[in-house]
Amino acid sequence: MTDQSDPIGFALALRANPLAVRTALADTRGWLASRRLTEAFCSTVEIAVAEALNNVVEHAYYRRREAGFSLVARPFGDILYIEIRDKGHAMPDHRLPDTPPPEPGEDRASLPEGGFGWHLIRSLADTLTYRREGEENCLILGFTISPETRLPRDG
Amino acid sequence: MELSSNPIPGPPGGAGATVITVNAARIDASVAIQFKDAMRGLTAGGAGDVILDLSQVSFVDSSGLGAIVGAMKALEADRHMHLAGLTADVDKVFRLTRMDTVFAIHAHASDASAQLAG
Repeated sequence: MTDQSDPIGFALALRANPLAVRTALADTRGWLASRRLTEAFCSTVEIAVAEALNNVVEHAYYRRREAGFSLVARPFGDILYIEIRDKGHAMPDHRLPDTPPPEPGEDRASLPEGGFGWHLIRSLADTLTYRREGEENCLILGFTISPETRLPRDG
Repeated sequence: MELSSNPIPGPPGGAGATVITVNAARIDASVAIQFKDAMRGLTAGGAGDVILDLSQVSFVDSSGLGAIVGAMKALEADRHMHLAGLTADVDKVFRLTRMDTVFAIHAHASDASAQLAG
């Protein structure tokens, strides 16, 4: 079936692996740049989406045969929604983790080397919803578009 | 993972420092392990502080951040890791995770090496 492409939306579907995540991020950032949004806004989206996609590759598909994910970006009103779907393991209790971010601490040996992902997503996205739909995970990140996140028009 | 290493002579009797430049645009999940291994190869058994020049790196994700922290933890206790040349997106990740508080951060690698040189 062909994509009924919304002229202002963006969609892709790829195998879930780290190199595909790079491709998805580059394509998403390219599309964002074409929407006349500031670098700061584009990087906020890219970092949050990177963490969400890494989570799909590393956790949803942990010890599962590699499968795919899809990403759809769609502005609606003043919010850019990014919807990510995969067919991997559900989130524990079908909820997003809300463990506190790792603390930097004073002691070098106990510094955290991971556990930053959901903290970054929660810090960067303005809205965040997750639901399990049958065999599919659906995560939707929302980013508020405002005059500050738009590039000024020329002239 | 392409890293290049450049020694900075220290004061007489001092250890000096090493500038390690990351010649890549991204430190992400697909290269985090290679990065950590390459860092270990360049720093193991050495002496003096390490200045990690990130000025060519435009993107770091949480795996890359973890690998940088891991490389720092692998240093001997008397050696410090400095970060230099953080680009805007990389700086954002360090600030949001508060990992900017555990490194000495310099605008340019040359500032850090001037401080540490003999």
